[in-house]
Order: sequence, then structure tokens, then C-alpha cells
Amino acid sequence: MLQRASPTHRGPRDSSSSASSRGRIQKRKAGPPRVDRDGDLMMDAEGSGQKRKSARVQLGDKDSSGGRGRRGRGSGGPFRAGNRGIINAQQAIMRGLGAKQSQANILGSRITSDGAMLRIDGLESSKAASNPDGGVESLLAFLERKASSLDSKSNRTVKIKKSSMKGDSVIITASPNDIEAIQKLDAFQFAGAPLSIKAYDSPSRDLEKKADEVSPSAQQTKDMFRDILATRYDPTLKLLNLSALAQDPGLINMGVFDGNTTTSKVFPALMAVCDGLFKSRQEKREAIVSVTLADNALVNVGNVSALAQKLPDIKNIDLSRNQISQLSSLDAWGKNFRHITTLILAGNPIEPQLPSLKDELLKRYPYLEILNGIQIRTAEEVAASIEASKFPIPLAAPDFRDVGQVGENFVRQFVPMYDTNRSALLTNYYDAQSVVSISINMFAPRNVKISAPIPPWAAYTKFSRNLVKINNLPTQMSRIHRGSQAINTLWNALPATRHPDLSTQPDKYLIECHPLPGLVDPNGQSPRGVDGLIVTMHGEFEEESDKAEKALRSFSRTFILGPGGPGGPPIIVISDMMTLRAWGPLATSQSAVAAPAPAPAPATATAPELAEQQRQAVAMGLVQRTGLNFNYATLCLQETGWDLEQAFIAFNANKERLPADAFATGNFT
Amino acid sequence: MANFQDIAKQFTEFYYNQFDQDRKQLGPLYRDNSMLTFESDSVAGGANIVSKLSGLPFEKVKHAVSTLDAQPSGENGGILILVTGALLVDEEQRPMNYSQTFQLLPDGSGSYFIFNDIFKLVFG
Repeated sequence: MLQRASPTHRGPRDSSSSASSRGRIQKRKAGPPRVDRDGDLMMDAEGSGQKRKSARVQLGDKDSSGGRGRRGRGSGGPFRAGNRGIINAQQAIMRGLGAKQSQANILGSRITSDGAMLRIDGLESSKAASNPDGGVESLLAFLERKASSLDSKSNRTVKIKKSSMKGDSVIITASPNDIEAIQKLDAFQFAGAPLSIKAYDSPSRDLEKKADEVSPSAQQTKDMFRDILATRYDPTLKLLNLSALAQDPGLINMGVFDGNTTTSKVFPALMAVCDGLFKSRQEKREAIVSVTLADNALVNVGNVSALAQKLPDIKNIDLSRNQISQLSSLDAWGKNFRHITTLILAGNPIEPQLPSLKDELLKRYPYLEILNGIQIRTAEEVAASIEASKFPIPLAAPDFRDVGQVGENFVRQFVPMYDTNRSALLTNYYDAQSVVSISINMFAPRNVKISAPIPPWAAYTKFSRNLVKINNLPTQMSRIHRGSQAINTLWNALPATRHPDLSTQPDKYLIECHPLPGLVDPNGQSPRGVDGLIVTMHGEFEEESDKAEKALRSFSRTFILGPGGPGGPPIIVISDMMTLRAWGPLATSQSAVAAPAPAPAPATATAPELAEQQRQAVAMGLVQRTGLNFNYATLCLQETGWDLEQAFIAFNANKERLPADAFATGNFT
Repeated sequence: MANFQDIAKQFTEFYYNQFDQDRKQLGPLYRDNSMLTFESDSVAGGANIVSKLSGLPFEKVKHAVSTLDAQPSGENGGILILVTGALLVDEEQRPMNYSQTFQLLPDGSGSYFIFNDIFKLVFG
């Protein structure tokens, strides 16, 4: 290519350059002709209009360039050549740049005939992967744009000269300078996925050379494999039948089997050829849905591990009549085959263990529905568990363990009152001992799909008691608000809010509630403490603002509820801690729970639950009046037929004889 | 004597470091009367809590604490802590917001144990 570029030297604008006229390869001040990203000769954008036009024709229509139809890289060609818009844009940029930049590019093209190569991984996890071209085009555009802007001081346009796909990796070629710039984008986020950008070295080039210059016998072998694959493919069923390979007359004729290394050698080759038949993962996915590997005497899937790499999207695998004896025999497939719905292991030593391995298999193959012909779960269950497994930690419906509906009543009153009447809320649930603090999480990761801007935090920052940031003790202490009055001042200063309605939009909340023993008894009757509740609430609210756009926030709020002191409200908020963050939808488990999902948070209870709740309420009443712990209060009520008054009388009559542990304890050390 | 804010900070730092390094070693932070509610599944007692934590379906985990707030809780020197942050597990590239509430109680010998621990993923 070096040779190709020099002789067509048309006289550089820099007249001092004479090197090229001597026919030498020069490193600087090169003549204009250059090679485009696909290796096609391209005229300098600075050249005459006529020449530029011809250059564009070549760019736009790759096939017309003739000559260097390099198959290996050519596979990347369609991605690039097809997008005239981008190419035109690039040319426009090129034209806009001075001769110097132009030369820099020419230089880059010329001194690296093959260019340096990078391997980019991560595209398949990005959102762009669903583009018709698998996202390659937008990835390349992204890399060029980002690398150019990173390298702003040199004011240079980074250009990717070639691209091709290797499995899920994108291999790109560019000039060393550009490679260096692009490499800086390693670990950058592209369409929601981090990219891995690594140097890609010669083996691949060797491979590509091989692909370019296939020796006749290799080409022959390839063709034979292709023929064999063709006979084994059923387009109606979209089934690739790879069973009993050792008995395949075609393969036997090829003499590819030597001794007992049958599948280990043949299989990867078959898979590689198979892979080469498809342009994209999507094409493969659509063509091959099922694969049978029956009757291959497989002890494990090590020899057929290529299947997982080349056909990761297949849905049905038949491993009938092999020698698979344990689950670990499937380990070589790793976590691929996430989409398997049917797995057949009939006639393998593992077969009798399958019932006990079911859970493990379900974990490994989250879409698995049918195991050995038996439906082990329904599509709905699969959908539910998939939804759940979107989160590596399985989500559960909220756990609301109320006592006497105290928690539920509190939440039901708190939410609307915080929006409409904070002072009444203070009167109803806060007293001189209540403590409130808030903190702001400005760094909560957000789903990239959420484009709404984050409303400014200004109204909150001066109250934020985020101890990660606030180290000054007086500041820390001044941002803790104790007692109704101080809380009132805080709440008056905070923006007004509008929370979603609890009963009509319960999905906007995650609320949990657990009994909490050991609170300080405000009545001083129980030195060892009384029982309360800890309520954790996650949700969102809309901030009232004069601005047109809605200002949404997400929050997490923890309350400790306990009995109030004499003369005050019966139930008070002892602690109220709130963290605000940029709005994002809650990770709800609604769809994660198969069958009738438990209603979130405070919901209507079933009849037995209601009875239980009423009993708990009565018991809680007795706890409050007597200082008994919850268990003893329950015992006492059971004795007296759940009559609170009778129980109280019985308590008074017997309290001297009750053991110390009958009373709520406050000492947990 | 450290104030409760400092204790809360030291505790959270220690807790998440230990959690990310080897969560099986978190046992000494819990007692028999401790309760852990992890994604709404409640377990009581140090041993059960450790086995619950150990059995969580991920190997690598990294917590990043974004906010930490603490309030004194009760007259016995308890501390209520609310942490929000993000965590990454295994090969998952998408950090997840979580919220975790701890209630610490003094153990009588100058240190603290976790009496309540409520963990919830709040956003995926």
C-alpha cells in the first residue's frame, strides 16, 4: 500500500517537499492520495472536485473499488460503506480542516498499511446491539467522535480505517496515532455498556491473511464442511443436527477423524465454518434455533464448547445418548446459552439425578422450561424469574410485619399529611424527642434511559447531613433536628411535595415494617424498654415548584415508631431519616413474584391476617399499658379470651409474681 | 470518646470493606438477638445471618457508599444509621442503588454490634 500511495503523488501543497518526487517513501508531507478505511484507494479530499467525486464513488460503493476486496476485513465493510451519511459528514469535516490535519491523516494511512489493530468488546451488552447492524456503525462513530474530542489539542480527526467482527468483538484498524487515541476510550461507556478496548495482535492478522489466501486444500476442507453442515441443517425446524458426527459419511470420507480425538478437532472447525456462513449474530439467531448433539459419546461438553461461543442464542439443545454424568460436565459452556428453553439429557448417566439438579439447572439456564421432555415451569414462571433475575440479587416483595396496624396507619397518614399539612403531622406523630435529618445522594446511578434532568438540589443541600461529606462536628450537629419545633423549621424550609397516592399507586412504593424491641419507655414504666416499629419506605415525590417541568425525586426514609410520652400522641416518630436521590423507578418485585403477588406495603389483609392483626393490636395495647413484652402480653390475652380489660385486671393481680423476663427488655447487651 | 457520627462512619467503612472482601467474616458484628432483613427476607441470630449473607447469589461485590446519616437511638447509646449507595456484583456492569438501615447497640464492652440490618435494592 505504501507503494500504491506514493507514485500517484500529485504535488503537495508544501512545495518544499521533494522526497516523494524521488519516489521515496516519506513520512511527512506526503502526497494526497490515501487509503480509506476499507483499504480502497481514495483521493485526497483537498484534491480537485472531479477527483473528489471519484473518491466518493469509491467510498460509497465498496464493491466498485475492485482490486482489494479483502474478505477478512471485508466483513466489516458493509457496516461502514453502507452509511453514506457518516462518510459524507467525515468528508465535510476533512474539507473543513486545514491541509495539515489532512496530511496527518494521509500520513496515518500511509505508514500503516495494515494499521494497528484494536479489539473492542462490550458492544453486545450495549443498547446499540439491537440496531439492525448489531450496533457496529454507531460504535465506530462513537469511537471516532470520542477519540477526536479527547485528542482535542491536536485538533485531529480520529478515523477508523477498517472494522470487522470477530465473534462479539469488533476489530478495528487505524493509524498508530489514532489507535493511541482510541485506546484511551477503554472502559468508556457506550450505549449503557462499558467498552473494553485492547490491542489486537498478529494472530488475528495471520488468520485474516489465511482467510485471504486460503490454500486450495483449506478452501476445499471448508467447502466440505459447509456441505456437511448443509445436509445437517433443517431450515423448517431451524435445527442444526450435529448428532453422531463420528458416523457422518462425509466427515469419515474427509478422514478428519484420527483415533479418539474425533469431536475435539472436528467440532470447532465445523463451528467456525458455520459461524462464517452468517453475517451477524442476529442472522445466526434467526437461522438456528435448535441443535442436537445426540450420540456423540460426549463425557462433557468440553469438545463442543465452541457451540456456546458460536451459537450462544440457540433455544433448544439435545444431548441425548451421550456419557454426561454430572452437572459439571456442562461447565465448559459456562454461562452461555442463557436462552435455552429446552434441554434434553435422555440416555445419559446424569438422567436419574435430574430431578434433584432441577434448581441448579434453572439457575444456570434462566429460560429453561422443558427438561428431558418434562415441563418444569411455565413460560409465565420463566418470565417472572427473568424479571427477577434482571437484578443479580433476587428482589422480594416488601416485608410488612406490622403490629396492631400501627405501622400501616402511620404510613397511610404520614404520606398525604407530609404533602398537605406538615404541622398537623408534627402534632400527630412527633414530639420533643423526635429526631429528623435528611441527606442528599447526588451520585446515585441512574438508568441511562432516564433522560429527565436532575432538578437542582439547592433547596436541600444546606440541610444535607451526609456524613460522608460533612465532617465538621458543629455542622453535623446543626443538621440534626430534634423536637417538633426544630423539625417544623426544617419542614417549612423544604420544598412542598406531592407523593403518589398510596392506595392507587402502591407500585410507587416499597415499604417495610418490623417490630423493634428495646425502645426507651417514655412513660418510664419499663426500665428495660418498650417495643416499637422500624419502618423503611422507598418511593418518590414530585416537588412543587413554579417551574413548568415536574421535579421528581426518589427517596428512602427510615422511621422508628414507638409509644409516645404522657400527654402526647400515642405513637410517635422517634427517628426519621430521609435520603433523597435523583429520580429513578423503584426496583419492584411486582413481576418478580409468580402467581398472585403479595400486594406491596400496607395493603388489605386477608381475613385470617386481619384477625391476627386485631389480636396483635390488642396485644400491643396491653404491652403499652403494662410494660409486658409482646409474648407475655399475648399469653395473658390468650388466658383471658383476648379481652383487653380482663387481661389488664389479670396482669395487675399477678404482676408481682411475673418473672423479670415477662417485661419488655431494653438491655440487649 | 468518639461521637456517634464517627462511630457510624467507622462502622460503615468497616462493614462494607469486610462485606466486599469476605462477607463470611461479618459474624462478629452480629449477636444472637440481631436481625437481618435482606431483600425482605428476615433472619435472626449471628450464625443464620452469616449463612444468609454467605449464600447470596453473587461472589464478587463492591459497595460504594454515597450517603451516610446517623442519629442517636435510645438512651443506651444505640445508633441508627441510614446508608444509601450503589453496588456492583460479579460481572454485572450496572451499579444498583441500595438503601441499608443499621441499628447499632453497644455491646457493653466498648464496642457495638448490629441489632438491626435492613437491606433493600431500591433501583436497578
